[in-house]
Amino acid sequence: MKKYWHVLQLTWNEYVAYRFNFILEVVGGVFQTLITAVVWLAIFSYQKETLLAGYTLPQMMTYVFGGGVISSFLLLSSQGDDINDDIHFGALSHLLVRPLQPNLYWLLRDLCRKCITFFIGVFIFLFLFIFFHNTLLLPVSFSAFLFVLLFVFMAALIHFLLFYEFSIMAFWFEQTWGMRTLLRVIMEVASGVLIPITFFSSFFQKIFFFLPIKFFVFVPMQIYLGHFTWRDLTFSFIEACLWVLLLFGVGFFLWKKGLRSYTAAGL
Amino acid sequence: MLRYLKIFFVLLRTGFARNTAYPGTFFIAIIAKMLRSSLVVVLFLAFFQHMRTFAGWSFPEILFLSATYLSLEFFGLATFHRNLSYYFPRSLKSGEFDFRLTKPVSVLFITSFEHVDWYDISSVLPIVVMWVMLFVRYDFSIVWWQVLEYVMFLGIGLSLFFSLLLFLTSTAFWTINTSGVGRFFEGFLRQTKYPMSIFSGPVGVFVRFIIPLAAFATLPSEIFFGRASFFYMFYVALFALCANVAALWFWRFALKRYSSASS
Repeated sequence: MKKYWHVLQLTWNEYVAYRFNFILEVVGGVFQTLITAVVWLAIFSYQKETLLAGYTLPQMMTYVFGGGVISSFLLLSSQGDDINDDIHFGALSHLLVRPLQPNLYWLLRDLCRKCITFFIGVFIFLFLFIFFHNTLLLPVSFSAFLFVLLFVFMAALIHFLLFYEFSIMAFWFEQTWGMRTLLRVIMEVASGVLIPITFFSSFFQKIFFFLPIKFFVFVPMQIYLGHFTWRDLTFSFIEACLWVLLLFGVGFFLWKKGLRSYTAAGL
Repeated sequence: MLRYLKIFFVLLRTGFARNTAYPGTFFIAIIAKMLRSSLVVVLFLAFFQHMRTFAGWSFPEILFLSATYLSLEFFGLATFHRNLSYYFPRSLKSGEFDFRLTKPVSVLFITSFEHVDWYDISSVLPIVVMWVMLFVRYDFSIVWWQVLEYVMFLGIGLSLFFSLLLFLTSTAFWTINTSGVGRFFEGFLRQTKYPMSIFSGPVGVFVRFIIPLAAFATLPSEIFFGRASFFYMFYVALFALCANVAALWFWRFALKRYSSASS
Protein backbone atom coordinates (compact mmCIF):
# COMPACT_ATOMS: atom_id res chain seq x y z
CA MET A 1 0.00 0.00 0.00
CA LYS A 2 2.94 2.28 0.76
CA LYS A 3 3.96 2.51 -2.89
CA TYR A 4 0.47 3.69 -3.85
CA TRP A 5 0.65 6.31 -1.13
CA HIS A 6 3.86 7.53 -2.78
CA VAL A 7 2.08 7.58 -6.15
CA LEU A 8 -0.57 9.81 -4.57
CA GLN A 9 2.06 12.09 -3.04
CA LEU A 10 4.04 12.39 -6.27
CA THR A 11 0.93 13.02 -8.34
CA TRP A 12 -0.19 15.67 -5.87
CA ASN A 13 3.20 17.39 -6.06
CA GLU A 14 3.21 17.18 -9.85
CA TYR A 15 -0.23 18.78 -10.14
CA VAL A 16 0.35 21.38 -7.45
CA ALA A 17 3.35 22.62 -9.47
CA TYR A 18 0.80 23.75 -12.07
CA ARG A 19 -1.69 25.11 -9.52
CA PHE A 20 -2.29 28.37 -11.40
CA ASN A 21 -3.26 26.34 -14.42
CA PHE A 22 -5.76 24.38 -12.32
CA ILE A 23 -7.12 27.56 -10.75
CA LEU A 24 -7.83 28.96 -14.23
CA GLU A 25 -9.56 25.74 -15.27
CA VAL A 26 -11.75 25.79 -12.17
CA VAL A 27 -12.51 29.52 -12.48
CA GLY A 28 -13.80 28.90 -16.03
CA GLY A 29 -16.17 26.25 -14.60
CA VAL A 30 -17.21 28.47 -11.69
CA PHE A 31 -17.99 31.29 -14.10
CA GLN A 32 -20.24 28.90 -16.02
CA THR A 33 -22.07 28.06 -12.78
CA LEU A 34 -22.34 31.72 -11.84
CA ILE A 35 -23.82 32.64 -15.22
CA THR A 36 -26.26 29.69 -15.03
CA ALA A 37 -27.34 30.89 -11.58
CA VAL A 38 -27.85 34.45 -12.81
CA VAL A 39 -29.78 33.11 -15.83
CA TRP A 40 -32.14 31.30 -13.45
CA LEU A 41 -32.53 34.40 -11.29
CA ALA A 42 -33.50 36.36 -14.39
CA ILE A 43 -35.85 33.63 -15.64
CA PHE A 44 -37.70 33.49 -12.33
CA SER A 45 -38.02 37.27 -12.20
CA TYR A 46 -39.24 37.46 -15.85
CA GLN A 47 -41.71 34.58 -15.46
CA LYS A 48 -43.13 35.96 -12.22
CA GLU A 49 -43.80 32.36 -11.19
CA THR A 50 -42.67 30.79 -7.95
CA LEU A 51 -42.46 27.26 -9.34
CA LEU A 52 -40.78 26.09 -12.57
CA ALA A 53 -40.99 22.36 -13.37
CA GLY A 54 -41.30 21.66 -9.64
CA TYR A 55 -38.39 23.89 -8.58
CA THR A 56 -38.63 27.02 -6.48
CA LEU A 57 -35.95 29.68 -6.94
CA PRO A 58 -33.98 28.66 -3.81
CA GLN A 59 -34.13 25.01 -4.90
CA MET A 60 -32.91 25.88 -8.39
CA MET A 61 -30.09 28.07 -7.08
CA THR A 62 -29.05 25.32 -4.67
CA TYR A 63 -29.19 22.81 -7.54
CA VAL A 64 -27.02 25.00 -9.78
CA PHE A 65 -24.39 25.76 -7.12
CA GLY A 66 -24.39 22.18 -5.79
CA GLY A 67 -23.98 20.97 -9.36
CA GLY A 68 -21.12 23.44 -9.81
CA VAL A 69 -19.28 22.12 -6.76
CA ILE A 70 -19.76 18.51 -7.87
CA SER A 71 -18.66 19.31 -11.41
CA SER A 72 -15.45 20.91 -10.12
CA PHE A 73 -14.78 17.50 -8.55
CA LEU A 74 -15.89 15.31 -11.44
CA LEU A 75 -16.18 17.05 -14.76
CA LEU A 76 -12.85 18.89 -14.80
CA SER A 77 -10.79 15.70 -14.63
CA SER A 78 -8.32 14.82 -17.35
CA GLN A 79 -10.82 12.28 -18.72
CA GLY A 80 -8.62 9.47 -19.83
CA ASP A 81 -5.84 11.42 -21.55
CA ASP A 82 -3.13 9.82 -19.38
CA ILE A 83 -4.35 6.28 -20.03
CA ASN A 84 -4.68 6.83 -23.77
CA ASP A 85 -1.22 8.40 -24.01
CA ASP A 86 0.44 5.73 -21.84
CA ILE A 87 -0.86 3.02 -24.16
CA HIS A 88 -0.42 4.97 -27.38
CA PHE A 89 3.15 6.15 -26.71
CA GLY A 90 4.29 2.98 -24.95
CA ALA A 91 4.69 4.35 -21.41
CA LEU A 92 2.54 1.41 -20.32
CA SER A 93 5.59 -0.82 -20.84
CA HIS A 94 7.35 1.01 -18.00
CA LEU A 95 4.31 0.62 -15.78
CA LEU A 96 4.03 -3.10 -16.51
CA VAL A 97 7.59 -3.86 -15.43
CA ARG A 98 7.17 -1.96 -12.14
CA PRO A 99 5.64 -3.53 -9.02
CA LEU A 100 2.48 -1.52 -9.61
CA GLN A 101 -0.99 -2.28 -10.84
CA PRO A 102 -1.37 0.19 -13.77
CA ASN A 103 -5.14 0.44 -13.36
CA LEU A 104 -4.83 1.37 -9.71
CA TYR A 105 -2.05 3.79 -10.59
CA TRP A 106 -4.32 5.55 -13.12
CA LEU A 107 -7.25 5.55 -10.70
CA LEU A 108 -5.16 7.18 -7.97
CA ARG A 109 -3.85 9.82 -10.36
CA ASP A 110 -7.40 10.53 -11.48
CA LEU A 111 -8.68 10.82 -7.89
CA CYS A 112 -5.78 13.08 -7.03
CA ARG A 113 -6.62 15.46 -9.85
CA LYS A 114 -10.30 15.36 -8.91
CA CYS A 115 -9.39 16.29 -5.31
CA ILE A 116 -7.23 19.23 -6.37
CA THR A 117 -9.88 20.75 -8.63
CA PHE A 118 -12.48 20.03 -5.93
CA PHE A 119 -10.52 21.88 -3.21
CA ILE A 120 -9.94 24.86 -5.50
CA GLY A 121 -13.62 24.74 -6.53
CA VAL A 122 -14.91 24.65 -2.93
CA PHE A 123 -12.64 27.53 -1.98
CA ILE A 124 -13.94 29.71 -4.84
CA PHE A 125 -17.54 28.64 -4.35
CA LEU A 126 -17.36 29.63 -0.67
CA PHE A 127 -17.01 33.26 -1.80
CA LEU A 128 -20.04 32.91 -4.04
CA PHE A 129 -22.04 31.28 -1.23
CA ILE A 130 -21.54 34.45 0.80
CA PHE A 131 -23.23 36.52 -1.94
CA PHE A 132 -26.03 34.04 -2.57
CA HIS A 133 -26.54 32.75 0.99
CA ASN A 134 -30.10 34.12 1.12
CA THR A 135 -31.24 31.90 -1.74
CA LEU A 136 -29.30 28.72 -0.92
CA LEU A 137 -30.74 25.80 1.01
CA LEU A 138 -29.10 23.39 3.42
CA PRO A 139 -29.48 19.63 2.80
CA VAL A 140 -32.85 18.29 3.97
CA SER A 141 -31.14 16.20 6.65
CA PHE A 142 -27.69 15.19 7.80
CA SER A 143 -28.27 11.66 6.49
CA ALA A 144 -29.16 13.16 3.08
CA PHE A 145 -25.84 14.99 3.10
CA LEU A 146 -23.97 11.75 3.85
CA PHE A 147 -25.84 10.02 1.02
CA VAL A 148 -24.86 12.87 -1.31
CA LEU A 149 -21.21 12.25 -0.44
CA LEU A 150 -21.65 8.51 -1.00
CA PHE A 151 -23.30 9.04 -4.38
CA VAL A 152 -20.65 11.56 -5.45
CA PHE A 153 -17.97 9.01 -4.59
CA MET A 154 -19.80 6.38 -6.67
CA ALA A 155 -20.18 8.92 -9.47
CA ALA A 156 -16.41 9.48 -9.36
CA LEU A 157 -15.89 5.73 -9.84
CA ILE A 158 -18.42 5.59 -12.68
CA HIS A 159 -16.78 8.64 -14.28
CA PHE A 160 -13.32 7.08 -14.07
CA LEU A 161 -14.53 3.69 -15.34
CA LEU A 162 -16.40 5.20 -18.29
CA PHE A 163 -13.37 7.16 -19.45
CA TYR A 164 -11.09 4.23 -18.62
CA GLU A 165 -13.08 1.98 -20.94
CA PHE A 166 -12.96 4.46 -23.78
CA SER A 167 -9.26 5.15 -23.17
CA ILE A 168 -8.08 1.54 -23.18
CA MET A 169 -9.60 1.22 -26.62
CA ALA A 170 -6.17 2.64 -27.48
CA PHE A 171 -5.04 -1.01 -27.46
CA TRP A 172 -6.94 -1.43 -30.72
CA PHE A 173 -7.43 2.11 -32.08
CA GLU A 174 -4.53 4.52 -32.45
CA GLN A 175 -6.53 7.42 -31.06
CA THR A 176 -9.48 7.43 -28.66
CA TRP A 177 -9.90 11.20 -28.55
CA GLY A 178 -13.05 11.13 -30.69
CA MET A 179 -14.82 8.59 -28.49
CA ARG A 180 -13.93 10.48 -25.33
CA THR A 181 -15.13 13.75 -26.86
CA LEU A 182 -18.44 12.10 -27.66
CA LEU A 183 -18.75 10.91 -24.07
CA ARG A 184 -17.84 14.36 -22.75
CA VAL A 185 -20.48 16.04 -24.91
CA ILE A 186 -23.19 13.64 -23.74
CA MET A 187 -22.01 14.13 -20.16
CA GLU A 188 -22.39 17.93 -20.36
CA VAL A 189 -26.12 17.60 -20.87
CA ALA A 190 -27.11 14.20 -19.47
CA SER A 191 -25.43 14.79 -16.11
CA GLY A 192 -27.92 17.57 -15.39
CA VAL A 193 -25.22 20.11 -14.65
CA LEU A 194 -26.73 22.75 -16.95
CA ILE A 195 -30.38 22.14 -16.10
CA PRO A 196 -32.17 19.34 -14.23
CA ILE A 197 -32.94 16.34 -16.46
CA THR A 198 -36.66 16.72 -15.69
CA PHE A 199 -36.68 19.94 -17.76
CA PHE A 200 -36.12 17.99 -20.98
CA SER A 201 -38.88 16.46 -23.09
CA SER A 202 -39.94 12.92 -22.18
CA PHE A 203 -37.95 11.51 -25.12
CA PHE A 204 -34.66 12.94 -23.84
CA GLN A 205 -35.57 12.17 -20.23
CA LYS A 206 -35.95 8.47 -21.09
CA ILE A 207 -32.48 8.43 -22.67
CA PHE A 208 -30.81 10.43 -19.90
CA PHE A 209 -32.40 8.40 -17.09
CA PHE A 210 -31.15 5.21 -18.70
CA LEU A 211 -27.53 6.41 -18.72
CA PRO A 212 -25.28 6.24 -15.62
CA ILE A 213 -24.29 9.87 -16.23
CA LYS A 214 -27.32 11.03 -14.22
CA PHE A 215 -25.39 9.99 -11.07
CA PHE A 216 -22.86 12.77 -11.67
CA VAL A 217 -25.03 15.73 -10.71
CA PHE A 218 -28.76 15.07 -11.04
CA VAL A 219 -29.12 12.20 -8.53
CA PRO A 220 -26.90 13.69 -5.76
CA MET A 221 -28.72 17.01 -6.01
CA GLN A 222 -32.16 15.35 -5.89
CA ILE A 223 -31.07 13.66 -2.65
CA TYR A 224 -29.70 16.95 -1.31
CA LEU A 225 -32.98 18.76 -2.04
CA GLY A 226 -35.10 15.96 -0.61
CA HIS A 227 -36.79 15.15 -3.92
CA PHE A 228 -36.00 11.47 -3.49
CA THR A 229 -37.99 9.13 -1.27
CA TRP A 230 -36.25 6.29 0.56
CA ARG A 231 -37.51 3.99 -2.19
CA ASP A 232 -35.95 6.16 -4.94
CA LEU A 233 -32.75 6.34 -2.95
CA THR A 234 -32.53 2.57 -2.48
CA PHE A 235 -33.22 1.90 -6.15
CA SER A 236 -30.69 4.53 -7.21
CA PHE A 237 -28.07 3.06 -4.90
CA ILE A 238 -28.63 -0.45 -6.30
CA GLU A 239 -28.54 0.93 -9.84
CA ALA A 240 -25.30 2.83 -9.18
CA CYS A 241 -23.72 -0.31 -7.66
CA LEU A 242 -24.81 -2.35 -10.68
CA TRP A 243 -23.32 0.24 -13.05
CA VAL A 244 -20.02 0.21 -11.13
CA LEU A 245 -19.95 -3.60 -11.25
CA LEU A 246 -20.89 -3.71 -14.93
CA LEU A 247 -18.32 -1.09 -15.92
CA PHE A 248 -15.70 -2.77 -13.75
CA GLY A 249 -16.45 -6.13 -15.40
CA VAL A 250 -16.30 -4.70 -18.91
CA GLY A 251 -13.11 -2.81 -18.03
CA PHE A 252 -11.48 -5.95 -16.63
CA PHE A 253 -12.40 -7.93 -19.75
CA LEU A 254 -11.11 -5.22 -22.11
CA TRP A 255 -7.91 -4.83 -20.10
CA LYS A 256 -7.14 -8.57 -20.28
CA LYS A 257 -7.94 -8.68 -23.98
CA GLY A 258 -6.01 -5.48 -24.66
CA LEU A 259 -2.88 -6.58 -22.82
CA ARG A 260 -2.73 -9.68 -25.02
CA SER A 261 -2.72 -7.53 -28.15
CA TYR A 262 -0.35 -4.89 -26.72
CA THR A 263 3.03 -4.57 -28.38
CA ALA A 264 5.71 -2.01 -27.64
CA ALA A 265 8.85 -1.13 -29.50
CA GLY A 266 12.09 0.43 -28.31
CA LEU A 267 12.31 -1.12 -24.84
CA MET B 1 -1.77 39.10 -48.35
CA LEU B 2 -2.01 36.66 -51.27
CA ARG B 3 1.03 34.85 -49.95
CA TYR B 4 -0.63 34.38 -46.57
CA LEU B 5 -3.80 33.15 -48.23
CA LYS B 6 -1.74 30.58 -50.11
CA ILE B 7 -0.05 29.50 -46.88
CA PHE B 8 -3.45 29.24 -45.23
CA PHE B 9 -4.65 26.88 -47.97
CA VAL B 10 -1.53 24.78 -47.51
CA LEU B 11 -2.25 24.65 -43.78
CA LEU B 12 -5.82 23.63 -44.60
CA ARG B 13 -4.51 20.73 -46.68
CA THR B 14 -1.96 19.58 -44.11
CA GLY B 15 -4.57 19.94 -41.36
CA PHE B 16 -6.90 17.67 -43.31
CA ALA B 17 -4.17 15.07 -43.75
CA ARG B 18 -3.31 15.24 -40.05
CA ASN B 19 -6.89 15.02 -38.81
CA THR B 20 -7.89 12.18 -41.09
CA ALA B 21 -4.79 10.13 -40.26
CA TYR B 22 -7.01 8.33 -37.75
CA PRO B 23 -10.28 8.01 -39.73
CA GLY B 24 -12.17 6.21 -36.93
CA THR B 25 -11.56 8.87 -34.34
CA PHE B 26 -12.10 11.58 -36.97
CA PHE B 27 -15.64 10.46 -37.75
CA ILE B 28 -16.59 9.86 -34.12
CA ALA B 29 -15.26 13.32 -33.21
CA ILE B 30 -17.35 14.86 -36.00
CA ILE B 31 -20.45 13.13 -34.62
CA ALA B 32 -19.57 14.44 -31.14
CA LYS B 33 -19.13 17.98 -32.42
CA MET B 34 -22.38 17.87 -34.39
CA LEU B 35 -24.09 16.60 -31.26
CA ARG B 36 -22.60 19.44 -29.22
CA SER B 37 -24.00 22.03 -31.65
CA SER B 38 -27.41 20.36 -31.64
CA LEU B 39 -27.46 20.20 -27.85
CA VAL B 40 -27.44 24.00 -27.61
CA VAL B 41 -30.83 23.89 -29.31
CA VAL B 42 -31.97 20.98 -27.13
CA LEU B 43 -31.02 23.03 -24.07
CA PHE B 44 -33.18 25.96 -25.16
CA LEU B 45 -35.98 23.59 -26.18
CA ALA B 46 -35.92 22.32 -22.59
CA PHE B 47 -36.20 25.89 -21.29
CA PHE B 48 -39.09 26.65 -23.65
CA GLN B 49 -40.96 23.56 -22.46
CA HIS B 50 -41.62 25.54 -19.29
CA MET B 51 -41.73 29.16 -20.43
CA ARG B 52 -43.07 31.18 -23.36
CA THR B 53 -40.21 33.66 -23.60
CA PHE B 54 -36.60 33.52 -22.45
CA ALA B 55 -36.16 36.84 -20.70
CA GLY B 56 -38.01 38.64 -23.46
CA TRP B 57 -36.57 36.57 -26.33
CA SER B 58 -39.00 34.39 -28.30
CA PHE B 59 -38.04 30.89 -29.43
CA PRO B 60 -37.19 31.89 -33.04
CA GLU B 61 -35.08 34.78 -31.71
CA ILE B 62 -33.26 32.44 -29.34
CA LEU B 63 -32.67 30.05 -32.26
CA PHE B 64 -31.21 32.93 -34.23
CA LEU B 65 -28.98 33.84 -31.29
CA SER B 66 -27.88 30.19 -30.98
CA ALA B 67 -27.06 30.05 -34.71
CA THR B 68 -25.03 33.25 -34.36
CA TYR B 69 -23.20 31.91 -31.30
CA LEU B 70 -22.46 28.57 -33.02
CA SER B 71 -21.24 30.31 -36.19
CA LEU B 72 -18.86 32.53 -34.26
CA GLU B 73 -17.66 29.58 -32.19
CA PHE B 74 -17.18 27.59 -35.41
CA PHE B 75 -14.91 30.22 -37.01
CA GLY B 76 -12.87 30.56 -33.82
CA LEU B 77 -12.56 26.86 -33.04
CA ALA B 78 -11.72 25.82 -36.58
CA THR B 79 -8.89 28.32 -36.84
CA PHE B 80 -7.09 30.09 -33.98
CA HIS B 81 -8.71 28.94 -30.73
CA ARG B 82 -6.90 25.63 -30.20
CA ASN B 83 -3.71 26.94 -31.78
CA LEU B 84 -3.44 29.74 -29.26
CA SER B 85 -4.92 27.94 -26.27
CA TYR B 86 -3.24 24.56 -26.44
CA TYR B 87 -0.76 24.06 -29.30
CA PHE B 88 1.17 27.29 -28.75
CA PRO B 89 1.95 26.69 -25.02
CA ARG B 90 2.80 23.08 -25.87
CA SER B 91 5.22 24.22 -28.59
CA LEU B 92 6.89 26.57 -26.11
CA LYS B 93 7.32 23.72 -23.67
CA SER B 94 8.71 21.31 -26.24
CA GLY B 95 10.94 23.89 -27.91
CA GLU B 96 9.19 23.62 -31.29
CA PHE B 97 8.28 27.30 -31.10
CA ASP B 98 11.92 28.23 -31.70
CA PHE B 99 11.68 26.74 -35.21
CA ARG B 100 8.73 28.99 -36.00
CA LEU B 101 10.88 32.02 -35.31
CA THR B 102 13.21 30.99 -38.11
CA LYS B 103 10.46 30.79 -40.76
CA PRO B 104 10.07 33.66 -43.28
CA VAL B 105 6.49 34.27 -42.20
CA SER B 106 4.72 36.19 -39.43
CA VAL B 107 5.17 34.30 -36.13
CA LEU B 108 1.70 35.33 -35.00
CA PHE B 109 0.13 34.08 -38.23
CA ILE B 110 1.78 30.68 -38.08
CA THR B 111 1.10 30.36 -34.34
CA SER B 112 -2.58 31.20 -34.79
CA PHE B 113 -3.33 29.11 -37.88
CA GLU B 114 -0.83 26.26 -37.97
CA HIS B 115 -3.37 23.58 -37.10
CA VAL B 116 -6.58 24.22 -38.99
CA ASP B 117 -9.14 21.98 -37.33
CA TRP B 118 -11.05 19.79 -39.76
CA TYR B 119 -13.00 18.24 -36.91
CA ASP B 120 -14.78 21.57 -36.60
CA ILE B 121 -14.93 22.34 -40.32
CA SER B 122 -16.52 18.95 -41.03
CA SER B 123 -19.12 19.32 -38.29
CA VAL B 124 -20.60 22.52 -39.68
CA LEU B 125 -23.73 20.72 -40.94
CA PRO B 126 -26.01 21.33 -37.90
CA ILE B 127 -25.17 25.05 -38.06
CA VAL B 128 -26.02 25.22 -41.77
CA VAL B 129 -29.25 23.28 -41.14
CA MET B 130 -30.12 25.71 -38.36
CA TRP B 131 -29.64 28.76 -40.60
CA VAL B 132 -31.68 27.22 -43.42
CA MET B 133 -34.44 26.17 -41.00
CA LEU B 134 -34.52 29.61 -39.43
CA PHE B 135 -35.16 31.43 -42.69
CA VAL B 136 -37.46 28.80 -44.18
CA ARG B 137 -39.60 28.31 -41.10
CA TYR B 138 -39.71 31.76 -39.54
CA ASP B 139 -40.70 34.92 -41.28
CA PHE B 140 -37.92 37.33 -40.29
CA SER B 141 -38.16 40.73 -41.87
CA ILE B 142 -34.80 41.27 -43.53
CA VAL B 143 -33.43 44.76 -44.01
CA TRP B 144 -30.25 44.71 -46.13
CA TRP B 145 -28.31 47.28 -44.09
CA GLN B 146 -29.14 45.39 -40.89
CA VAL B 147 -27.76 42.23 -42.49
CA LEU B 148 -24.64 44.15 -43.46
CA GLU B 149 -24.24 45.48 -39.93
CA TYR B 150 -24.89 41.99 -38.57
CA VAL B 151 -22.05 40.49 -40.64
CA MET B 152 -19.77 43.38 -39.76
CA PHE B 153 -20.39 42.99 -36.02
CA LEU B 154 -20.00 39.23 -36.25
CA GLY B 155 -16.54 39.99 -37.63
CA ILE B 156 -15.92 42.48 -34.81
CA GLY B 157 -17.02 39.83 -32.30
CA LEU B 158 -14.60 37.36 -33.85
CA SER B 159 -11.74 39.85 -33.74
CA LEU B 160 -12.52 40.55 -30.07
CA PHE B 161 -12.53 36.80 -29.42
CA PHE B 162 -9.07 36.61 -31.05
CA SER B 163 -7.72 39.63 -29.16
CA LEU B 164 -8.84 38.47 -25.73
CA LEU B 165 -7.45 35.00 -26.33
CA LEU B 166 -4.16 36.36 -27.70
CA PHE B 167 -3.80 38.61 -24.67
CA LEU B 168 -4.35 35.71 -22.27
CA THR B 169 -2.25 33.20 -24.12
CA SER B 170 0.74 35.56 -24.45
CA THR B 171 1.31 34.98 -20.74
CA ALA B 172 2.57 31.52 -21.78
CA PHE B 173 5.95 33.15 -22.51
CA TRP B 174 6.40 33.54 -18.75
CA THR B 175 4.36 30.68 -17.28
CA ILE B 176 5.13 26.99 -17.71
CA ASN B 177 1.74 25.58 -18.50
CA THR B 178 -1.24 27.54 -19.80
CA SER B 179 -3.73 24.93 -20.92
CA GLY B 180 -5.87 26.34 -18.10
CA VAL B 181 -6.12 29.59 -20.06
CA GLY B 182 -7.91 27.72 -22.84
CA ARG B 183 -10.35 26.09 -20.45
CA PHE B 184 -10.85 29.39 -18.62
CA PHE B 185 -11.64 31.16 -21.87
CA GLU B 186 -13.94 28.36 -23.05
CA GLY B 187 -15.84 28.70 -19.76
CA PHE B 188 -16.45 32.36 -20.62
CA LEU B 189 -17.14 31.84 -24.32
CA ARG B 190 -19.78 29.16 -23.77
CA GLN B 191 -21.89 31.54 -21.73
CA THR B 192 -22.36 33.82 -24.71
CA LYS B 193 -25.02 31.44 -25.99
CA TYR B 194 -27.39 33.16 -23.54
CA PRO B 195 -28.75 36.58 -24.44
CA MET B 196 -26.54 38.91 -22.41
CA SER B 197 -29.43 41.35 -22.10
CA ILE B 198 -30.79 38.93 -19.49
CA PHE B 199 -28.23 40.20 -16.98
CA SER B 200 -28.76 43.32 -14.97
CA GLY B 201 -26.80 45.02 -12.19
CA PRO B 202 -23.04 44.43 -11.83
CA VAL B 203 -23.09 41.23 -13.95
CA GLY B 204 -24.86 43.14 -16.71
CA VAL B 205 -22.26 45.91 -16.61
CA PHE B 206 -19.47 43.31 -16.66
CA VAL B 207 -20.73 41.35 -19.68
CA ARG B 208 -21.75 44.43 -21.66
CA PHE B 209 -18.98 46.91 -20.87
CA ILE B 210 -16.00 45.61 -18.89
CA ILE B 211 -15.49 42.39 -20.89
CA PRO B 212 -18.17 42.81 -23.56
CA LEU B 213 -19.14 39.17 -24.01
CA ALA B 214 -22.37 40.58 -25.46
CA ALA B 215 -20.35 41.46 -28.58
CA PHE B 216 -19.99 37.77 -29.50
CA ALA B 217 -23.57 36.74 -30.25
CA THR B 218 -26.05 39.01 -28.48
CA LEU B 219 -25.12 42.29 -30.18
CA PRO B 220 -25.14 40.93 -33.77
CA SER B 221 -28.52 39.31 -33.05
CA GLU B 222 -29.87 42.51 -31.52
CA ILE B 223 -28.66 44.39 -34.61
CA PHE B 224 -30.49 41.93 -36.87
CA PHE B 225 -33.70 42.42 -34.90
CA GLY B 226 -33.23 46.20 -34.89
CA ARG B 227 -32.86 46.41 -31.11
CA ALA B 228 -29.25 47.52 -30.75
CA SER B 229 -28.46 51.05 -29.65
CA PHE B 230 -26.01 53.09 -31.75
CA PHE B 231 -24.06 54.05 -28.62
CA TYR B 232 -23.45 50.42 -27.69
CA MET B 233 -22.46 49.44 -31.25
CA PHE B 234 -19.95 52.29 -31.28
CA TYR B 235 -18.64 51.28 -27.85
CA VAL B 236 -18.11 47.64 -28.88
CA ALA B 237 -16.40 48.60 -32.15
CA LEU B 238 -14.06 50.94 -30.25
CA PHE B 239 -13.44 48.35 -27.53
CA ALA B 240 -12.62 45.67 -30.13
CA LEU B 241 -10.18 48.02 -31.87
CA CYS B 242 -8.43 48.92 -28.60
CA ALA B 243 -8.36 45.24 -27.53
CA ASN B 244 -6.83 44.34 -30.89
CA VAL B 245 -4.08 46.95 -30.61
CA ALA B 246 -3.39 46.08 -26.96
CA ALA B 247 -3.27 42.32 -27.64
CA LEU B 248 -0.87 42.75 -30.57
CA TRP B 249 1.32 45.05 -28.52
CA PHE B 250 1.37 42.60 -25.62
CA TRP B 251 2.20 39.69 -27.95
CA ARG B 252 5.17 41.59 -29.44
CA PHE B 253 6.28 42.70 -25.97
CA ALA B 254 6.18 39.09 -24.73
CA LEU B 255 7.89 37.75 -27.86
CA LYS B 256 10.78 40.20 -27.46
CA ARG B 257 11.40 38.88 -23.95
CA TYR B 258 11.25 35.24 -24.99
CA SER B 259 14.54 33.46 -24.41
CA SER B 260 13.76 29.88 -25.49
CA ALA B 261 12.16 27.65 -22.88
CA SER B 262 13.67 24.30 -23.64
CA SER B 263 17.20 24.77 -24.87
